[in-house]
Amino acid sequence: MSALLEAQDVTRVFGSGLLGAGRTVAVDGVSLVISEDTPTITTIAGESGSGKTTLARLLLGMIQPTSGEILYRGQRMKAMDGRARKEFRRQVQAIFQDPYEAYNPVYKVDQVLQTPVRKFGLVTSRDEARQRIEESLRLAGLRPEDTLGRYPHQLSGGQRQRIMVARALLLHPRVILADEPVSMVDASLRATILESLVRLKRELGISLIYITHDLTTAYQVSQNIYVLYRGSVAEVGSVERVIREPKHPYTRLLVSSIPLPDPDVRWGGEGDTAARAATPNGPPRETRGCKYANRCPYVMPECRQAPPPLYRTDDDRAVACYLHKDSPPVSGRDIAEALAHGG
Amino acid sequence: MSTATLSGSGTSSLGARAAQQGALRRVLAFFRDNPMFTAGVLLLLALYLFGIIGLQLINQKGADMGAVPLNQSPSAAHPLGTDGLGRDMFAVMVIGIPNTFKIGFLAGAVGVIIGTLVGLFAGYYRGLPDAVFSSFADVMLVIPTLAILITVSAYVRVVTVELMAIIVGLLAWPLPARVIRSQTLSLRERLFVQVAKLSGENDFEIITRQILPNLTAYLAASFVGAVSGGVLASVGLEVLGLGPQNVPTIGRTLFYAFKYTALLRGMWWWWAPPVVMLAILFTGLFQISISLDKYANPRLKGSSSG
Amino acid sequence: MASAPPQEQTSQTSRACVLEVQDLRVSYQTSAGPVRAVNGVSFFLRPGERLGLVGESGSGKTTTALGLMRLLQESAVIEGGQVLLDGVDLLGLSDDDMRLARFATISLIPQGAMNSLNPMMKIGEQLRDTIRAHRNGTATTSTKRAIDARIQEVLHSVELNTAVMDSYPHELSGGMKQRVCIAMAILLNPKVIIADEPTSALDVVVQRQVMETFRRVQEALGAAVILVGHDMGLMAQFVDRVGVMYGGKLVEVGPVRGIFKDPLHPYTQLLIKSLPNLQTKEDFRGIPGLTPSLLAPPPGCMFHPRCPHAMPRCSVDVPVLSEIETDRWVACHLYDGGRP
Repeated sequence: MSALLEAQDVTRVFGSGLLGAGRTVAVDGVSLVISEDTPTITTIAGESGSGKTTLARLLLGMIQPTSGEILYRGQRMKAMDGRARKEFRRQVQAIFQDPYEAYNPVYKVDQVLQTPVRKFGLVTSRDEARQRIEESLRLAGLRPEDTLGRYPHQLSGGQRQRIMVARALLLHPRVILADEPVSMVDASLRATILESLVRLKRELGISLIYITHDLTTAYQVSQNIYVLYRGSVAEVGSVERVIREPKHPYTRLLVSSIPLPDPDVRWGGEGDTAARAATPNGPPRETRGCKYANRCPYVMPECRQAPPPLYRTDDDRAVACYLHKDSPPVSGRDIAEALAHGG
Repeated sequence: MSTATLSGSGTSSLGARAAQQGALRRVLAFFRDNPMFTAGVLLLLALYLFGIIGLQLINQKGADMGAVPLNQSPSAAHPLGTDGLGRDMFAVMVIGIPNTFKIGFLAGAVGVIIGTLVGLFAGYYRGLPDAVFSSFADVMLVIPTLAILITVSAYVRVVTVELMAIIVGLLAWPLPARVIRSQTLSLRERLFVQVAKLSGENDFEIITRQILPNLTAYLAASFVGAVSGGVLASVGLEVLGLGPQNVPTIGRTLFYAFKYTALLRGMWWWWAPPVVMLAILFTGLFQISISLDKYANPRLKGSSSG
Repeated sequence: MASAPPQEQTSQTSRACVLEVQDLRVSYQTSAGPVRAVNGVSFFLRPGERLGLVGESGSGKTTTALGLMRLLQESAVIEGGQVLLDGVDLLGLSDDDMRLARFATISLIPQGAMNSLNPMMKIGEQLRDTIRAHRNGTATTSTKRAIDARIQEVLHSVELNTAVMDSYPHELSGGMKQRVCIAMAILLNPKVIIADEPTSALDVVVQRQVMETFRRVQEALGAAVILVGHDMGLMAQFVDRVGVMYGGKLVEVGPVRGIFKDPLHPYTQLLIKSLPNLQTKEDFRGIPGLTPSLLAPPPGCMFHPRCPHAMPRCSVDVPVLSEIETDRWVACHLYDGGRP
């Protein structure tokens, strides 16, 4: 298995502050692998503060890691020259969460489609450009005559988001990073947009990285999932394992908090000890041990000593929790590669 | 399946003519929706036309010194009388107003162009360039510009209208720079800028194609502010006797009026017309500036539920 | 477009309800013309009941909720209808009386605490303000000590440390701010609480905590709740009855189980089918078509252009919300026994 896009033990720290007071470790030693062989959809799941957005920006090359490497097809991002970067840019694209903010309000939506075509020199004539744009729009489920020539505010949120999908497709990328692509879209349209994303994988062989806090859609859409908590990987594996039989206490809390659309299956399962002691807070202080220790109903003394490594409890899953220390420890990179291989 | 959209507009294939009509309608709608802006523009326009049309009506020589009998109160031959230097006041006003406009707009343009360039650069690149330019701008904002202008004028003996405008403009850039810088700082974080970067746009394109078009309201507001400041500064210099000497300007007229004690001598036609013209000019600029504030400061746009 | 016959009201008025909305109509003035955002909405709320008002963008659910409290923007005009709270028509009250009624008899938990909390004031002060601004003369909370005691009692019930009273909003987390908003909403023991997507900005774990707290205090208070939102999962977990809105109208109202297990209106059916679940993968069933334009609405039923069961009549007659079974209301020609 060769890796298309991978993060090797990546850490990203923001701010320095005096005496390190203003430091935030947004991403803390995360490894992730997207395989080149078969197209897959991989979820990066977490809530706000989990670091998933920062990880996305690292994978897109928009910011640099403080330590660790991002590699594209074996090439280190830091070592890429201008031409390699441009090629990377063409092959790794993104769809963002906010279908309104993604557009510059002074321009018609055409601009968002014409710019990549122009800047990457993909076509030689105006007609070719128009053709390519129309083809992309149709792939995204839109009719060109209904969408081109309009301003963003004249279209619905669903249409705007689909134009963003079309834009991501224009360059015929290998990987598309979708950051909460449907969270700001109406419920009835979500299924349609998610379906078009899955079709991108099936029909065009594009791998997707799906970033979300919604585990239900993650289950529907992806094969593998990385659950992040405050910058670290809490649990990683296939969605069948991680979502249907979660092992990390945080994952279990997440899964049990999902409001299932079934009145007979009310919220149950894990509680959260932190809620009872809610006090005004500042940014979480860096701790020595497991980051989840203060909230964990199963916390043990060793949890506060050092952060737990990933323990491989199944072929296709690993948990960073001392509850499972009987399973063999595995490095982030190894489990990531194993997952990518299995996919 | 109908093309239902939020605005309910029809098909997307607008002809060029329809697009033009749309643009014209939008412009007219803008004037209709902003009565204060329209009033200000009309005031300025009236003032300027007074100058332009008046130029056709008068004998330009009448503005030279000694051209006409001195100290005449307004009459049929000299609608605004004559001053103590033998100049027909009407002629002086008619020539002076376009000059004042010229100074104001030139100074305003210079100030805004420099300020915008500095603001964009500092706001987009941040770091060291920002620290340097911002400190420089902050220092300049604190120093009284009139003091600098007076000092400069003392050294530059022969001053044309254009030269004075440029000098004034060179001191007017810090305020627009600060405004543009702070807007650039926030615009560069917007999602559409990230999208443009991913689409391959380089820094120059991001600044000019993504950020700059979103600054039009601020540019317009800064321009009006700079024009006001420029006129004020130049009139201030002229009233003190500095500035262009051979060209009739409003401020210079006031200088002469003070120098020859027109006030005490009851020669209202000497000091009143310049003052009235200035009042109209600043009222117009002020109205435009206030009405643009609504666009430059969206929080003023009116609140939702009370 | 045929005009709609008067709504069937018979069984409603005989039930004891704390809130009764009759034929509410709200329009917005836009540059392109008037837009009827709420088009003849009628429903009732029993004491202590939790009603979910569900719909997508443009359905009119938020306008309805805010309209009940007369908190709409200036460009919105309440064109008609009645909002009877314990028999008193809120729409007919003077501005002053309405202000007193807010938070005292009917209160609001807004979407996003930033809309409700003043960033420059401490929490305690804002809560005191709420009591002072909206209480009527007969309230027992008149002295500062009594006011503070009430505030502490309420903060305790929403599981907030009373230290919060001396904090500014920005010092609190999202979940805590939303709890403050809940506290604010229950301070004066209102009979009805309107919660407008109160958890949309919150993470799923915090959302659950906040909603569970909300349910507890609401049940203790005996207040009725209207939960406005688009998250069907949240509705299933929280409410007793659901009202589904589409294109400015209520298309179906019924008990939560009935809506989820046996939806009647075609839109509701498609909506339920489109919900993601943890059973099947890659099974996507979106609703084709676009949300209707409120500027140029389709004739007859608002949903007919997208409806898989559309009949010729649907593009002519506007269906009326009728009670076709006990406590199940649908606005659809499939059920009104008329001609197809």
